[in-house]
Formats: sequence, structure tokens, C-alpha cells
Amino acid sequence: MTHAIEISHLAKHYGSVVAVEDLSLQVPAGCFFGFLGPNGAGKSTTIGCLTGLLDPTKGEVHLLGEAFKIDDCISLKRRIGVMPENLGLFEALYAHEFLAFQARMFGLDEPTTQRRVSELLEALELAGQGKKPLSEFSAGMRKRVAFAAAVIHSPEVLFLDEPFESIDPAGVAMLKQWLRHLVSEEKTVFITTHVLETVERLCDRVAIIKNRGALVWEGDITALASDGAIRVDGQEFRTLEELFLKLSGERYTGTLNWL
Amino acid sequence: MRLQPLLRIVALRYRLLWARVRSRQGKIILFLCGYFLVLPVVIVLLAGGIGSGLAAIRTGRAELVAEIVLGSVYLEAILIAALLGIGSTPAFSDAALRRFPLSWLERLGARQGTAFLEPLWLFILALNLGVAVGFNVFLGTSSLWLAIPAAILLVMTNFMLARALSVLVEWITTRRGGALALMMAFVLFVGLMPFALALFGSAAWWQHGVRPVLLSILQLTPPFAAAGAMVGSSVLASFYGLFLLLGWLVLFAALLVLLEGLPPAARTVAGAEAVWNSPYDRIARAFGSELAPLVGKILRYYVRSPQLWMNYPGAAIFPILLSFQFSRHQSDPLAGFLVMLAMISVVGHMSMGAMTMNAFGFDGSGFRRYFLLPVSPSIVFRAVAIVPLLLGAALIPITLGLWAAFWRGHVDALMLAMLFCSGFAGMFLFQALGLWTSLLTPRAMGFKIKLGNKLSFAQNALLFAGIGFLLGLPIGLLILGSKTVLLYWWVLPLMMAAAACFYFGTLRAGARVFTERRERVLSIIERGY
Repeated sequence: MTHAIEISHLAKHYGSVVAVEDLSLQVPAGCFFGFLGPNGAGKSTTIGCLTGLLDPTKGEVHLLGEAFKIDDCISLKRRIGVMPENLGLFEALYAHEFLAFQARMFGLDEPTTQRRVSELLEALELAGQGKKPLSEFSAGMRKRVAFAAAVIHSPEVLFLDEPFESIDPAGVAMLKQWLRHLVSEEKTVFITTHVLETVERLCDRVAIIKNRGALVWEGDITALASDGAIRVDGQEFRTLEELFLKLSGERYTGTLNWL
Repeated sequence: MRLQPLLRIVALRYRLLWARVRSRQGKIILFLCGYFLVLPVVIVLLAGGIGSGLAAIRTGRAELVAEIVLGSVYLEAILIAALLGIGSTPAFSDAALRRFPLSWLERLGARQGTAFLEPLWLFILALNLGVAVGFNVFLGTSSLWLAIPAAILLVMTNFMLARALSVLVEWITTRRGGALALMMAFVLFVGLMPFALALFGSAAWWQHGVRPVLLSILQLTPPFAAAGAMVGSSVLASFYGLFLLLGWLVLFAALLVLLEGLPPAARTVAGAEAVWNSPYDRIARAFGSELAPLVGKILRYYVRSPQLWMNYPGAAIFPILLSFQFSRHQSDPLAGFLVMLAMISVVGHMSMGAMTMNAFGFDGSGFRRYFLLPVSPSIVFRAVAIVPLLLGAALIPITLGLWAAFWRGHVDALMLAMLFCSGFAGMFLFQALGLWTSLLTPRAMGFKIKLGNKLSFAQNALLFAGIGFLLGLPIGLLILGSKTVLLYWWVLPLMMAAAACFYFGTLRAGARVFTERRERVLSIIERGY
């Protein structure tokens, strides 16, 4: 099996603060991969290290069979698409300008850029926003623009950090359909989200991490989509939520009497 | 209005200030020193007030001295607050305060209160109190119980007026062409000021009975009213001054509320068609396929920035006006040339506003995208540097062309070459320094910001170095005289070459720093620390 993403012993420290410590993971090519964990577990930091935004303190990352080194990753960056946490939009640009900028930076020629930008804006119901800066877009609209920017160059691996939050149900349905199509075309989708039902229906495989990126489980979850169950450590789980709550750690179970 | 929540908000503002400082090593000491420095400064300002009292004794015209001192301080505070944005921006927006269970009036009070407690207003208050105490001690005028409230009320009206003007300027600049119109009005004001002052001082003006009318109007203004309250001949006169101040306070507060309630300009043109192949893209294409999209993006950021529209025309016209004003009454026939030689050195830098000194701070979360793009960070850094250089360089010949068109004195090819060298030397030097402040001391900044000073210490130092150049260098050159300056003409090309070397060295070294510091810069821009 070829792997689109291979992480070995990845660590990221911010001075004395350890965000991720010794994470190893493999994501098969053409897989819809869910990367789950509680808040602050290190999901966004991991994505940052996988996409060239953050310089890992230790460990190695291979994307599409090639070593991904922060100082020498330009050709690999052309093959991946990223929708980062905080979206990373240039707020003073108009939507079409921003998407055209993104397309040109990823090497698309001018006619292709114009065609794809127009098609994406149309499909994402953002057409007709000609002279509206991105700063004036609603949260959902901004997310759609960030998604369009991530896919405009037809990446082979797509990293999406919390892609569905703030988007209306119709928009979410459309994105899901597009993502399924991408995976059917043998492209790899790597998403982080807290919407476990969505992961359950979309993803083939899931990794669950805890504090500092500690991997607690990684495996196939396709059985859950067809109302089946998965067995972990001899215990059967019918939903991803059950599994997640079981594996992601101890939590406060008391009640707040004043609430 | 409840006082307790208001005080809590003010305390929160200082706690946040402290939190921002304590997160950086070594800054704690700086913070403490800064605040301990306030005390000696206040003492100096109080001494200034006492000095005014002494001056009043010597001249024997107490009320006039008080009026002049208070009036000057009043105008200076407005200029500093409304133009430089120091002490005129509330720490919290109304939207931010809506999260708390505060009434409209409490939110208003909290916002103005946090702006009023900025050091600028404490200094102004100290100076006003100094005048009140100084006059009372040395001349025995009025009662301190009337003079001190007058000093406090005066600084409150001063603050309210400065805030109202800031809000008005902010509102005007959000209208289409507003920033340009405002800057032109300012330039005209500065340009016509000497003529107005000359007219004001002419005997003919006074002979036509303007003086009594003007004086009676001035007597109603806040600084004159405060002077009346502090040095008034009777208790009644002092109460009259206090009453006037109270009236102004209410009026300015109402004006401020009115202006803050003005609807924001609709800048959106929804439904407009997407424009392909815009002038931005056509210009950017000249830089090659790798740089073009980045140059196009950065060019859009500059051209859409209200800061650029406020600074760009002024940066061209202002030096020309100042060169004509400075050179008046100078014995050197080439005084205008000398002044312009100095002034042109800052045109390529001052025209860009804060953006060159904080190049990444206006990108917001977009900053992280630079590192997701399939280009080397050095390409991004080069694009960030090219655009302000392009815009600044374009303004130098325009300014010199305008100057040459109005200049009536001698000008030859050597002088023009010297002017060009000076312009480009200054631009290379200041823009290179701006790249360093952008990298080493970035600050998160709203793209639409026009007023308010949120620059870092280093960025402010660079800003004031530019202003210092603007004011100090002409004097230096006038002292040297045109003969000496023309004799050593070759210094300017050398300076330009040195500045260019520094600039291109910065491009090389800065690209490495840009890569190494990206996580730090990202953290500051996105999280503020």
C-alpha cells in the first residue's frame, strides 16, 4: 500500500511548551482520513508541520513518497492543498482576486485561473460579490472561500482544519459531495473536525490523539457508516462518539449544582 | 451610571497592558521604568506651570500669560491626539463592551475613560494643574478650589474635542475620496497658515476693529475660560469661567456621541462583476511570473489602504510648501533648494504610512498563507519590499517636478541630480529600516485603521526619526549654506550608494530572518504576543 502521508516521531516544541511529542502515523493514498482529538491535543500543530507552516522540532514527514523538508518543499507544496485554522485569508482582497492570487501562485495559467475561479465562485454561491472585500464576508462565506483556495489547483492531498464549522447545511452537503468525489479520484483528504457524525459518514480511517499528539488509536471505521460496529481492545463501539469518549481520556463527571 | 463596573473596565485595560508586557522577556523592567518615568515628567510639567506663574509676575499680565500657555497646550494636545492618534483611541470598542452587563451610558463612560487615562492626558492635566497652582502660589489669584476644577474641566474638554475630531477624521476617511480630501485640506491649512498669521499680525487688520470681536470670541473658548477661572479678578469671574467650561464639556460630549453614532460608509459594491486583468495585475506582470501574483496582492493592499491615500499626496506637497516657507527670510539665495534637498529624503518613506514599517501586521491571518505557498520565503520577502519601493520611487520625481515648476530660483542639472540622490538615499535607508522593524517588532494592525498609534517602540522610533529628519536636516543644511553643500555634491551619490547597499543587504539578510522568525511573527500577528 502506498502512503500519501507518513509521519515518524514528529515533535513540535514552542520553547519549553511541548505541543506534539513523538507522533507517528501513516495515511494511505486515496483515503479519507479523520484526525481527531480533544481541544489542544495538537491537531492544528500537526497540520502546520505537515504543510510547511511550522518547522518540526524533531521527526520526519513524507508526503506522496517524498521527504517534506521545510527548506526544500516547493515542488511538494504545489501538490497539496491546505485550508488552515483561521483560514489565512487576505482580508482586503475581493474573493475573485484572492482565488486568482492563489491559483497563480500554484502555477495555473491565466485562462485556467479565470475559468476555475468563476466556476468555484458560482458553485460555492459566491458569485456577484465582485467588489466586496473578504473582511466583509460572513464566517460561512469566508470558509467557502478558504475551501475554494485549497482546491483550486486540484491538489493530490488536501488538508482541511475544521472545514465544516460555520457553513450552512446546504454548504456542508455540497462540500461533502466534493470531498467524496476527490477521494473517488484517488486523492487523499486529511481532515480535523469535532463533528464526529460527519467523520463517521465520510472517513475511511481515523486517528485519535490525546495530549501532546499522543496517538491512542488509528484504524478503519468504514463499518460504522454501514451501521456496523468496530472492536477496539475487545470492546465493541457502534458510534465514533462512543469510541472517542472512551479513548480521549478522563473527564469531569460531576455536576455544577449552581448551574 | 454605576462607577464600580466602570472602574473594573479601566483596571482591565491596565491588566491587559501589563499582560502584554509581561509575556516578553526584559519588557517588565521597561514597563516599570516607563511608569516610574511618568513621575519626573509630571514634576517637570508642574514646574512648567510654575514657570508660567513667574513669567506672569514679570510681565504683569497674568491672565494673558495663562491664556497663551493654556491655549498652546490645548492646541498641541489636539494635534497630537487627532493627528498622531496618541491618546485618542479607546482601549475597547463598543462591540467588545457589549459582552458585559453594562448600560449604554456605562459603555460610553468606560470607553472614554480608558482613552482618557492614557499618559498624554495625564501630562496635559499635570501641566494645566501646574498653571493653576503656579498662579495661585505666586500671584495669589483666584482660589485653588476653583482653579483646580478649572484645570480638570479644561483637560476633559480638550480630550472630548480631540476624540470628536478623531472620530470625525475617521468617518471622513471612510468615504470615497475622503482621505485625499482631508489631506489636501490639511496641506492647504498648513500652506495658508503663515499668510493668515502675517495678516493677523498686520496693523491694518487691527485698525478695522477686528481685534475686539476676535478677543471676545476667544474669551469664550475653553482655554480662555479656564484662564479666566484660574486668574479671574473675582469669584464671580472664576465661576463664569467654570460655567463656560462645563458648557463646552457638555457640548463636546454631545458632539462625540453624535459623531460616534454616524453610520459607517458602505464600501461594498455587491453584485459587481469580477474584474480580470486590472491595472494592479498589469503592473505586477512586469516582475515576472513568480513575483507577479504577490506583487499584485501587495499593491492592492497599499492602494486600498486609507493610510496611503492620506499620506501619499501630502508627502509630495508638504515638503514643497515647507521648502518655500523655510526659505523665506533666508539670506542664502538657494535656501529653498537646501530645504528641498533635506525634505525629499523622507518623501519615499513617509508617503507609505505605517505599512512599510509593519509590512506583515496588516495581513492578519493571511500572513500564514505566505508559508503555505509553493515559493521560497525570500520571494515573498522580496515582493513585500518591492511594492513600497515602487510607490515611493514614483513619488520622488513627481515631487521634484512640482517643486521645480514653482521654484523661482536658480536650478541646474547638478542640483537636480543631488535632489534625486537625496530622495533615493533616504528612501533606501528608511525602507530598509522599515523592513527590519516589520520583521523584528511586528504588530497586529487592522487593515482599515487610519488613526491611532499602535506601532511598536521600534516602529515609532523610525517614524519619529523620519519626522526628525524632516525638521532637523533643513536647519543643518541651511547652517552649512549652499556654497558648502554644492562644493561637496559628491557626498550625495555616495550616500545613495551606501543606502542602496544597506537596502539590498537587508533584502538578503532579511529573507533569512523572515524564514527563521515566521512562527514568532505569526504568533504576534494572530494572537498579539
